[in-house]
Amino acid sequence: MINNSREAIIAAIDHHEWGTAKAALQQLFLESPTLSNAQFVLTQLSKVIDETKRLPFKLFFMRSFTLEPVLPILKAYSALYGIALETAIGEFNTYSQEILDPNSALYRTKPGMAVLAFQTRDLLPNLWNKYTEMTPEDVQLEIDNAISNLKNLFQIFRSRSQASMVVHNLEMPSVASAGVLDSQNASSQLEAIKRCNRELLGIACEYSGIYLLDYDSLIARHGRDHWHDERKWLTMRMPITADCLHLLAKEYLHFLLPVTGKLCKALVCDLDNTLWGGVIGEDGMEGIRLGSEYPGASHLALQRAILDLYNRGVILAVNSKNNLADAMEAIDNHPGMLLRPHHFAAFRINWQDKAQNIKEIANELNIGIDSIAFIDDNPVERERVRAELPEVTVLDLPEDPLQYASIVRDSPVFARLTLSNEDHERGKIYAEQRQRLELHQNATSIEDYYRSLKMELQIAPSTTMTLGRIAQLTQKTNQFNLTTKRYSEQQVEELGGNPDWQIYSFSVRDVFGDNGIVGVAFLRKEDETFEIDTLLMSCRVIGRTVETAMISLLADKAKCSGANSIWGWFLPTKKNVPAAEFFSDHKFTKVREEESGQLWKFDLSNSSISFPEWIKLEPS
Amino acid sequence: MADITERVCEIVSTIFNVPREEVNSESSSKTIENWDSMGHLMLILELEQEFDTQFAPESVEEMYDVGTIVKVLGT
Repeated sequence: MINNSREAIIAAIDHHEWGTAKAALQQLFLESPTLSNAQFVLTQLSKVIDETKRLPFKLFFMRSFTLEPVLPILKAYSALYGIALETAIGEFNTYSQEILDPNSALYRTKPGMAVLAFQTRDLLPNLWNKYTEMTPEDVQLEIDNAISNLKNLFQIFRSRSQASMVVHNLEMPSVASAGVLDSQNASSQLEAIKRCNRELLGIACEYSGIYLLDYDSLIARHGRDHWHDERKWLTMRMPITADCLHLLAKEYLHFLLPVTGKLCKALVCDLDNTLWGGVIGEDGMEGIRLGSEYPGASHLALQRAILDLYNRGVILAVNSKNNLADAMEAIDNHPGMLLRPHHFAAFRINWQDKAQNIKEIANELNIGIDSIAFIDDNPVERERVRAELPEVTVLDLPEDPLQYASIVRDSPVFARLTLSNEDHERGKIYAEQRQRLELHQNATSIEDYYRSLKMELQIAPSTTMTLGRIAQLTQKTNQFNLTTKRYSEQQVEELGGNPDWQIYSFSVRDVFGDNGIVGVAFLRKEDETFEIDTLLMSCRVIGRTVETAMISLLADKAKCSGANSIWGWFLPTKKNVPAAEFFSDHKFTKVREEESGQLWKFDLSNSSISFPEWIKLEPS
Repeated sequence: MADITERVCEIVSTIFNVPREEVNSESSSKTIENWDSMGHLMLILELEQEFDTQFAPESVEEMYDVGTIVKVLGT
């Protein structure tokens, strides 16, 4: 097992045992996320991981209280999740100036994300301190002023910055000013704060990329009295107890991972003693523990948590050492199962090494190993996967199954900030993909296979409805992506309004169902040529000639807009090998070769790219 | 007492990122560069967690060297 003492970690690093050292650092910090461990992790991790391999990201804090002690902990968490986080922090209570002044540190820092951290006592000082002296009109006035001020700030921030913003909502006091009398009153102090929070949510929802952090629930979950340190608040403006600092850092991480795209797309699940209690091969259908009564309830709760992830767009797969028939019998027919075969996109139920199974699942689903999370009750299997596939996020389950569900619910790798239709349908789409694969295996020629899919493609210019999905695809698509340029929703919106740019989304439907938007292209007009700034395709339609249909349509669009040539860069990354042959496959000519990539050109004046006959073009 | 000194030195060394062998009872905010007011707050928070205690604000203002920290923790 992992020895996570500091001495053992330093020794592992001295012996260049990077995998062991990284896993031990991770475990040390997850078990005890203190300030000194944070510093230790950051110092040691910089020896283990090449700094350049981590994603650089800047975070700017606007705040009304001392947040500095949270930062090293947040940086350590971020480092463990592959993000090299840089933080900057504004003065106390200067967030209005920061947002209003176009030359403020906030804008000069050019952060990827900004946090607005205030407390109820700062935003609504009268309501917090003098509630018992206020009339209902005073209360409403203070809330209205605060909300309209914030709305103005949100609007200005949105117009000046493309960064995401995370805004704390307002926490309740531990004891209302009027004591129990407060609860007897429809216009109570607590009700007023709740009302303000509802309005805050309302204005945050009006702007893309502004997200609410439910600070009140976070504090309530851990206990208001436990969270608050009155002594340090009064002496150092630090309102949070030392052992709650990591909880706020972790909450920020739930925003940081989806914003940076460092998340897991799939959860690979063990079966015995994980999805149910006991071993199906030995205990049989009647013997395994799964249902609404203890102890089966622990496993039912875990399945519920996993089903919630599925509904959030996380792909599910099974990886279990079992006889296939025994395990499928339970998944198909056990009355306690919430998760059924149609929820899973891939099955590896065999006696093979689990790391090997995970590699195969990644291949089958066409996703990177680093976007897979793995859950297994057996520490030996977890260590095996960690050692063999360090990129996989391995969730450590405690011995007590009662805690399984909360481990899954608390993991930041499944955090999502928006949910598109595609996310909602993803699990289904991948399960359908499994059936497509079976069809492919039965087809006699590749053309037959394409025809049997009965694909229908639709091309559409970007609209406000599709902005979110387009931005999401630019952020998440790594494999079939020519230039791997990342765009935020705001950037897509801006470019969409620029007459020199054309942004298209491509949707594909086939015999098994609707895949939704699976392709995106950004074209930039320059004189009589069009540059393909971005062309990408979701991995779920790779290998079905959809890219040929896309480039054929784009060439037509360019020609109709008066272009005589279309050109684009292929910028190779570690992951976009599937797109490497795209330009040569479609008869583009290479005009330049540089270290960063190749420039390819297609002459439109005397040739065109033919549209695959097996795809039907649907009117948009 | 020796054990407390050892634990405090260890914490001071990691929080301020200085080699353990350079920290002793004499070390203070004057000898350690990163020991500014924000660093001090982090040190205090860490000590409170490590020793499961809460310092009086008056003590916090005096605890700018390892010797004093150990004395406060010992009482």
